[in-house]
Parts: sequence; C-alpha cells; structure tokens
Amino acid sequence: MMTIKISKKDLEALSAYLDNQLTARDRARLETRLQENADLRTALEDLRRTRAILRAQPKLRAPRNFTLTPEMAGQQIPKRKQQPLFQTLRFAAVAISLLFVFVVLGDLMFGSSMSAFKPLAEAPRNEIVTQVVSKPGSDESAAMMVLPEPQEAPQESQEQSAPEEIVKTVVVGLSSDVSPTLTENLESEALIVEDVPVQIESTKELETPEVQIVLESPPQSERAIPTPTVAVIVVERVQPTIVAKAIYPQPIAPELIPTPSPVPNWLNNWVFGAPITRVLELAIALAAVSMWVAVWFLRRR
Amino acid sequence: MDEIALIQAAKQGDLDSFNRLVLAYQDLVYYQAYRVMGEREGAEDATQEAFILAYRKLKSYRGGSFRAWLLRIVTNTCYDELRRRKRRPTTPLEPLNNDDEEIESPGWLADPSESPEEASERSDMRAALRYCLEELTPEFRTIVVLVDLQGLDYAEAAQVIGKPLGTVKSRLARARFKMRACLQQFWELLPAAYRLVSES
Repeated sequence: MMTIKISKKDLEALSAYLDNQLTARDRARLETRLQENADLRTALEDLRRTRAILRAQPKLRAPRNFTLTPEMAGQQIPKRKQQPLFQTLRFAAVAISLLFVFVVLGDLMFGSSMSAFKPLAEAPRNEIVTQVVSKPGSDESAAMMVLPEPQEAPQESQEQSAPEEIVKTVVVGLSSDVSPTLTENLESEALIVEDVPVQIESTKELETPEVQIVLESPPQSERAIPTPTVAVIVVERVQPTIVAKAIYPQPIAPELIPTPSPVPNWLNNWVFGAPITRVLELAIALAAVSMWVAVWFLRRR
Repeated sequence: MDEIALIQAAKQGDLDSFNRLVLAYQDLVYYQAYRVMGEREGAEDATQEAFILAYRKLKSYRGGSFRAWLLRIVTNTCYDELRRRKRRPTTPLEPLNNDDEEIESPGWLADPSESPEEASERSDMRAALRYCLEELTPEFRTIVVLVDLQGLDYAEAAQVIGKPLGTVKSRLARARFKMRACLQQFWELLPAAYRLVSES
C-alpha cells in the first residue's frame, strides 16, 4: 500500500488551487512544486476526483412547498411533531386523573355525610298515644296525659338529629283546625306526661301553629324517654277533647351510638365504605398511574 | 418584482412577497437541510422551521447575499436538531436510500478490513457519498455541502458559517481529504490510501 505524506498547509493550498482561490503568487509557487513533487500531484488528482464526485451529485428538489400560512407566520415556532399516541395518552391520563379526584372527593363528601345519619334513621320508633283528659280552657290548672304502653308502630316522624345530640326539647305541632284560642290556652297550662311535668315554652303563629314543650326531667319508669333521644308530640284537637300523640323513638342501641375514635370519620367511612366503590376507585387510580407511566416513557423517546 | 423589492415588502409584513421568496429558495434550503440532516423527514421539518424563523427575523437582514442568509438560518436549525438528537439518540432499524427504500446492502456497512472485491460490491456511489458525509462532523459536512454540492464561493460560505475566509479554506480542505479517504473504500479505482501528516 502506497502512503503519501502531505502537510496540512499543502493540503489547504491544493484544495484552494482547485477552486482557483489562490493568489497569483501562491498559485505560481504551487505549480512549480507540483512539477517537482509526484506525491503532491497524486494528492491533487485525488482531491480533484473527490471534488468532481461531489459536484456531480444531482440536487434534490423540495418535496413540497414550504410557503407560510398566516397562522404559521404569526405563531410560535412549532414544536417537533409529537406522536398521536403520545398526545392521546397524555389527554387520557389527565382526564382519568381528574375523574379519580372527583370520584374520591364525591365519595368522601357525600358518602360520609350520608352514613353519619344512617344509624338514627334506621332506628325503629315507638308510637305512644296520649289523651288529654281535660278540655281546653278548663279551670283545671294541669292537664293530665296518660301514656299507654309503648308499642311498635310505623315511623311517623321525619325529624332527625345527630346521634350524639341529647334532646330535651320537643316540638308540638298543632293541626290547622286548632284555634289560636286553644294555643293560648295550652300556653298557659302545664302538661304532665305521666308523672313528668311538661311545660309549654313558646308558641308560634304559623299556618300550622306549633308550641314547644320542654321536658323538665327525664321519665323514671321503664317507659321513660331515654337519653339521648328525640321525642315529638303532636297535639290534635278532637272535639271536645285534645288528643296529643307523643311519638317516642326507640332508645338508641349502644352499638349505634358512635364512640370517639382516633381515626377521623371521613377516613373510617372511606376505608370501610361500600366495597364496590373501593374497587372502582382503585381501578381508576391504577389506570391513571399506568397512563402516566406510558406518557413518561413516550416523552423520553 | 425583483428580490430586493420582495424582501422589502416582506419586511413590511407582506406574506405573499415572502412566500414568493420561499418558492424561489425552497429547493436550495431543503437540499442543504437534507444533506446536513441526512434524511428527508428531518430536512422537511428543518426547512419549514427555517422559513418561519426567517420571516420572523427578516428585519435583522441587513443586505448581502439573501441565499447565504437563508442558508445560515437553516444550517443553524439543523445543528439545533442534531444536538437534540444527540441528547436523545435513536437508531433506525434499516437505512433508507434517496427513494426512502431500505438499502439491502448498505455501503455504510463496509468493513475497512474487507477485500477490494467485497468493497466493489458496495459500489452504490450515492449511498457511499451519503455515508461518507454522515461520517463527517456537522461543521465539516456543512462546508463540503455549501461549496461542493451547493456551489457557493468561499465568501458566501464564510457568511453562512459565520467564520473568516481562512477557516473556510482550511475546513474545506480537511473535509475534502476526509471524504476522499472515506470514498476510497467504495471506489475501487481510487489509488492506495495515503496518510495526512500535520505540520504541527
């Protein structure tokens, strides 16, 4: 194999000589050396041949027009084309992440608030019908109310309260046919539920008049109203007497009374809530994580 | 309307005038991008980006060779993309020829240690030229493309690469020498290889 040693300076001179870029003086000097040096002549021919190959290459035409649209002229430099799969996955990942957030928030807000009322709402109530033996406006200072035995009855009251609330105040609703005179009379009387004095505290002039009754002390008998509990007494006027219905809820079972827990209620409800909801939330979370991982890998490509 | 008038109109925001300049120079700009990038898709992206950039920077054009100004923009755009690819390299499964067809026996797979007979089988000069251009660094490749493929003179080439005339001369000489050495393995008629000895 033949090896030609040529300096960098000679190489540059030969290249410029081919392009006719030498001064007249440098050109004359190089031509003299070319006559004397065979290696230089060989190198010049190699470069001439290489240059000819390069210049013989056909030029490519543009495959399309690159004219600008008004949008292109006014917009930022477009980013590199992103794969449609990447864009789709990124959109889906954002959407499913938002869905997950909404589902969990909705579960925490509405699921826990609904379950908080569940124990009391499901508790059966007893209905006790009390008959007022005295007529309204009579001279007796106290109206006696006889409480019959508590018996199972369908739920009539729509009033609800938080389980932990100890209620002594009961609301007496008067039907529309009760005259204002009766309300005033009732207000001035002290009702007695069995041996427990019941005092009418106030009245309201409404379409359906109401009087508020306060139990001064809890009943002592087995039929007594347990605490915590809620009682609603509905007084209706049945001529010539007044019938008062006292609707006592069943005593709240101890297991239904919430006990203080180190775990917050919302977390407790979420963890031990409906299994189908947990499965749904976990599935959405897994899908979201998978999509973000896929997006991350595609972005690095 | 001549080129100067079109440039002035485009500077005033006349997009139609600029698009007439685009149509006049898009082959030149695309060919430069294609040779520097080495593939069509990247060349198309770089060409489009270069014309958008040129429109936005048109007010910075102060005269001189407009084609050199355009070639400078597209060359820098290609450099940016090549640097980005270097940070995130990708390898095509099969090389493509100029018609975007897979090369069954690509010249760039030539083994320097193989015999001349084997090398002569890979005599597709276009594939060899493409391979040898890609073997050059982007700076050497650019100067060869500007002067030998695009036909610019040294002064215009110096304007494109933003370097003095002497840099163009030395860089072009060394690039041609590297091309000659590379092409030799594909060109059975080339004389035996020789070695460059630097004066330093």
